[in-house]
Amino acid sequence: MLTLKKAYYQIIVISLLLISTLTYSQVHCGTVELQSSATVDANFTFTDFSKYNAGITILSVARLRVKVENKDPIDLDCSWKLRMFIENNSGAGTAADKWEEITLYGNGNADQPSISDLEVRVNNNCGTPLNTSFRSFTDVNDILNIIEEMLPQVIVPAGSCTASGTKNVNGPGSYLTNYNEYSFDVDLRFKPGFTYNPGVYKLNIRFRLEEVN
Amino acid sequence: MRNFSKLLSTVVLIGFATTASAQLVDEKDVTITLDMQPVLELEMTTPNQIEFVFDEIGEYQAGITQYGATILKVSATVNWDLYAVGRSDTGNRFWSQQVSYGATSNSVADLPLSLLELRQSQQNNGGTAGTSIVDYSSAFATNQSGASGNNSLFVNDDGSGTPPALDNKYIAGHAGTTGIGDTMSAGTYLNNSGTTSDFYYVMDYRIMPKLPATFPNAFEADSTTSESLTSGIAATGFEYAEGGVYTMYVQYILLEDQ
Repeated sequence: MLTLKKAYYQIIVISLLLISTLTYSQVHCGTVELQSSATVDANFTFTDFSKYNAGITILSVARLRVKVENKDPIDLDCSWKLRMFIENNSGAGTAADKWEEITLYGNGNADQPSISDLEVRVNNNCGTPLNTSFRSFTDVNDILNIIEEMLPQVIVPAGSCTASGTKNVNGPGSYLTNYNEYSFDVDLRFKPGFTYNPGVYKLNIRFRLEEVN
Repeated sequence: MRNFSKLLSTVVLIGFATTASAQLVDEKDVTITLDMQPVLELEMTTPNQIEFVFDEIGEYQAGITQYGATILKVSATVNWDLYAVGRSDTGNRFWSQQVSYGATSNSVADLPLSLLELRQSQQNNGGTAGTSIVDYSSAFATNQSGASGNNSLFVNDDGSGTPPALDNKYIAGHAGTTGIGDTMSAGTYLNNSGTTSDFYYVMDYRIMPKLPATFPNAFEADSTTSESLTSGIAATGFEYAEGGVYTMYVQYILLEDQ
């Protein structure tokens, strides 16, 4: 009986050691840091007909700066990804594909604006994002990649931008030393058309810089 | 040995808790505010004054028509209605007499505002909810064809600008907010087929007094009840318009319908 108990403890210890080792292996980088100017507010205000007709584009509404430092000693598996999430306060009852309503200017008989009408473009001077055109979220469950996690993992080191067309730079580096690869401009465009309820609405785009496992 | 195993597992657990933290993450937010204000724009090209001077017999008989005197162009970001309403300084449904050329026992100075006839270039494609004449798109009735209320101007009894009812005329859209047959969709004349679109209306004006001047085409808002001077709105017996100068104005109103 005692022998069995001893074996049981040893199995637990070995398992925990194994898990601990595996878990520890997830952290490859020293720090990851996403900087931007203080919380950014973008205002789309449609007050005349030409704006409704042509839409409004806000260029460089935010400038994201990435700083990923490797560990000491260097871990060759340190890399990162940058993604966008959309939020509409769905907990308050907002439909998954609509903007959050703050106030209405009419009786609300028409449709609420759709999330998919908001277009986002993220790019940098090197064009390292795999998609540098305007894109849309379908709903709050949609996630848009800027710098993607490649499977199998491929680490594109800082400074690769000098080679024409290099995409997805995701190795350790900083906007301080490789500005063109580690800083990103965010552009927004919205063209409402004439089918939506006039009113005030809100959305939040969350940019997440994440170390790749 | 047993105590050592416990100690070892405790240490490992602490180590696990310390190192099991998720991978490194940082986040930033961009909050977007969308402010869509309703826009209704009515552009109007028209002379300040439209004059009808009746100084020949032929003009009394055939009337005077001012073709294309007013052009209305609509741009709207919301569903809309457009209507015309006759108004004057009198505050009721009559023209305002500025000068009288002489009153007699049978002359009538209270000329109904509805004696002015309108004709719009495009039919009302959002007015099927209407229960009578829904717009001013009919051709002007000729002198010989008898009295017609198809084109008489909509006027409120109290002279106000209150929107027409279901049995009254609109230029576009109609009474109600059901969205079925009573509204025009948002859009603009700028990108909707120019002069043949639902956002562009050329308005003609006509006054036909006939002889004697009784204005047979003056009808109440329902387009079926005559307001001509022989209908007994003033003195009894045989009435006709009192010679003079009269003024009124047509108010075009574009309103949100949603």
